[in-house]
Amino acid sequence: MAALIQQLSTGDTVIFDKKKRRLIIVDSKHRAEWKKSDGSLRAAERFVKDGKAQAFDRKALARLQAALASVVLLGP
Amino acid sequence: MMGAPQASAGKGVQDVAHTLAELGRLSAFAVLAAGSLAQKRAAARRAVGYLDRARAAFSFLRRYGIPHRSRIAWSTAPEFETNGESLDPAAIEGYIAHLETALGFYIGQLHCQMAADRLFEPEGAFLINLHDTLPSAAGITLPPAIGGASGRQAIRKTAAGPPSVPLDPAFTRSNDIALDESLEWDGNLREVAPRLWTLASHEAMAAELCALCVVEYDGLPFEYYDDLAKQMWDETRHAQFFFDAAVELLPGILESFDPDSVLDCTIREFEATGRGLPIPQEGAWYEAMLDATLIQRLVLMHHDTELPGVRGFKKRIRSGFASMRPRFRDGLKVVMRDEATHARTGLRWLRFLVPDLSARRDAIAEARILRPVLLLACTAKHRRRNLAELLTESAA
Repeated sequence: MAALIQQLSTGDTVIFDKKKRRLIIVDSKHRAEWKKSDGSLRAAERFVKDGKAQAFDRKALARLQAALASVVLLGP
Repeated sequence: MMGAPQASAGKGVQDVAHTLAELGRLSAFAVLAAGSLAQKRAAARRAVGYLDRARAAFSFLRRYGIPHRSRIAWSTAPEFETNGESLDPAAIEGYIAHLETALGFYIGQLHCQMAADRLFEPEGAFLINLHDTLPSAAGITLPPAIGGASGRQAIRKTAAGPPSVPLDPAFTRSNDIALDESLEWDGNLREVAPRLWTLASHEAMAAELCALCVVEYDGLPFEYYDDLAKQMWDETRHAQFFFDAAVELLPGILESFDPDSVLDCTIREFEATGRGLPIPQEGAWYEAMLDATLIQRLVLMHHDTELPGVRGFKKRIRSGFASMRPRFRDGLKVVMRDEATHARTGLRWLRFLVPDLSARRDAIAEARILRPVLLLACTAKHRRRNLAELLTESAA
């Protein structure tokens, strides 16, 4: 699969484009519309262009990883 | 599924094995519903008790060469009602009690069938020993469904964990707590105690993560549920161990009570009421793990956290704080021993789910990319923020 699509408990949907290493967040307000439009990566890209979804490129994702690296899930 | 009178001996033992596995999984639901660390520990211990007996039944089936299903699946995926966002413990307890009693009835019926035939003496002897561990079936008028799902089972998510889990009454979500993760445990008690009670909450979350893995996914071999339930019980014991260690330090802190210190006032309040120890708003990131897939959980918790965690425990065992407290140090050694088995559990099942090395590397990389999103989604929920905004701020 070219994209990993995951629903979050906040109501947001995460779409990860594996090829481009790009991540798109479709928020809960636009989720129904995105699902209706076929719920695909391509539809999410269109939503980004229309300002209805937000994209994070490879560099932004690297910065995010670094910013949250100090969060400890478990350990002394 | 079938009632007891029609079941053959081998099928009967298989039904018993699967029903015990189901009881173990239901007890994992009870871990998610439990309102305190002690209740979580009791539910986890019960889960392991059921799975120990299920393991004995599967071992019996293998020993006697009886063909059987070894993949586990819910007979009917349970959908428990929630009190707001958390599970209702009473509903789960009722379900467990009903199934346990039904299983006792079923085993009793099977044993009666087999008693007359010496060829089935091994089955009969095995079942009667199991029967003695279950409650009396008096009052059961109809044999309920026993035996788990039939047919070939694919690995898939068939049940959902609760949107949130109750916090132990000792803890309070707070914006005031900021933990320095690089802190050495040689520091003063005011630094170590909050680390220990926060660690207790994290260990409880690790148990909840194991419970999610046990209840949500069908179609894995019995050993997967057995491994994760064992870890679940370990984590609940660790939670209690670190919590007790923190509480033991509190009188020492109050000996030099500082009325201007928020922490000291909080501790004094806790000593009086048993409530109010501050932990971060996000708790221990339960929702981040709830939103993660099984593979992401195994990567983020087992591969990326438990494995380095073992090294962290080694360091803490050598700390001045632990060396001055031999009982605590010995406890840390037990925790470290357990954590090493958890790291192996994670690797075992990650390899099982993604056997190809290259695909596994991709899965690990993907989970790491998703990690900040999962964490910030948890923050968004607890701090009532917009996820995309949080991501933008953090990436700036």
